[in-house]
Amino acid sequence: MQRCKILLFALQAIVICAGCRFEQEGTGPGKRPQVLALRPRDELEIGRQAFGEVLKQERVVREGAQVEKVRRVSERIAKAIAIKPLQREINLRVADYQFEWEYAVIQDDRVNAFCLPGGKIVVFSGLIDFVRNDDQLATVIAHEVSHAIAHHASERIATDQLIRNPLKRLAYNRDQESEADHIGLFLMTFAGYDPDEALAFWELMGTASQHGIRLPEFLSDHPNDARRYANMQAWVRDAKAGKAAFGAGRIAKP
Amino acid sequence: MSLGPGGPLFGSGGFYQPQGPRGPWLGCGCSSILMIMAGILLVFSGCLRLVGQ
Repeated sequence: MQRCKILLFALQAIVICAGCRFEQEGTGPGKRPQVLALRPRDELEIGRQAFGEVLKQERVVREGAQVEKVRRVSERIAKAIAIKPLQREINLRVADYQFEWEYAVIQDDRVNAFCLPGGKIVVFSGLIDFVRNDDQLATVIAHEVSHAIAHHASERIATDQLIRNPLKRLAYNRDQESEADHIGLFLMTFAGYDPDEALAFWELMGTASQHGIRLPEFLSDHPNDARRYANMQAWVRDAKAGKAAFGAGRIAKP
Repeated sequence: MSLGPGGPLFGSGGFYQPQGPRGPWLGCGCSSILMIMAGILLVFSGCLRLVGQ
């Protein structure tokens, strides 16, 4: 009888431990654990201030074909973010956050773009000249927007306080980049862009780097290798399959 | 993942399946092993009880 009691106690302990492990499937994208440093209103305020600084300090393109192109693509990506089943699919934490989607084109030959917390998109004119079509521009904008809706800036502040090892930090940053690739592919697909163009864009980037052209700054800490491309190929298939299921009305209830 | 007549349903995480060091797999593998062990122990303790009685 004593043995039974011990065994039952052990069983309870194991079940409790298992329960704890399940709880670690957290609140981040893909239900991964995610620690954030900023409250929703802090993110918005930081984004507003930083965007104001960018507009003050940089040469902003006010009108023309480039601005129209960025507006067109950015608005479609922002609409895709509002699709509730897509939010549930990725487990995006956007309900408690306010995103004020704004965009600016900066007169700068560098191939670059970024999205500030709160939804402020900044695209360099060099990137617009570099991409071959709207789908490729959507690849980059969706990637950058994914950083904002996945709260990567807030997470980086939190993890910088926790992780002292610079190599671990770099690995963490690369994981964020990979995650932005993944979310971005879904966003652009649901915005009606062709995700195969994302692969074409990264191939273009690979060719550019082989010919000695400096990689864009937004790729500086990317896992830019064959593995990344293989990941992207798999995610393109998933995004297309997800869009097909969504289009056919095969949607899980909340 | 939720399944419907035509395959997986969108919106339950079946299509967005991250693979890497910080995805939902963090808890899944270990949890599965622990749950299997819990099941084995449950059966084992039941058997011991039967033998004991």
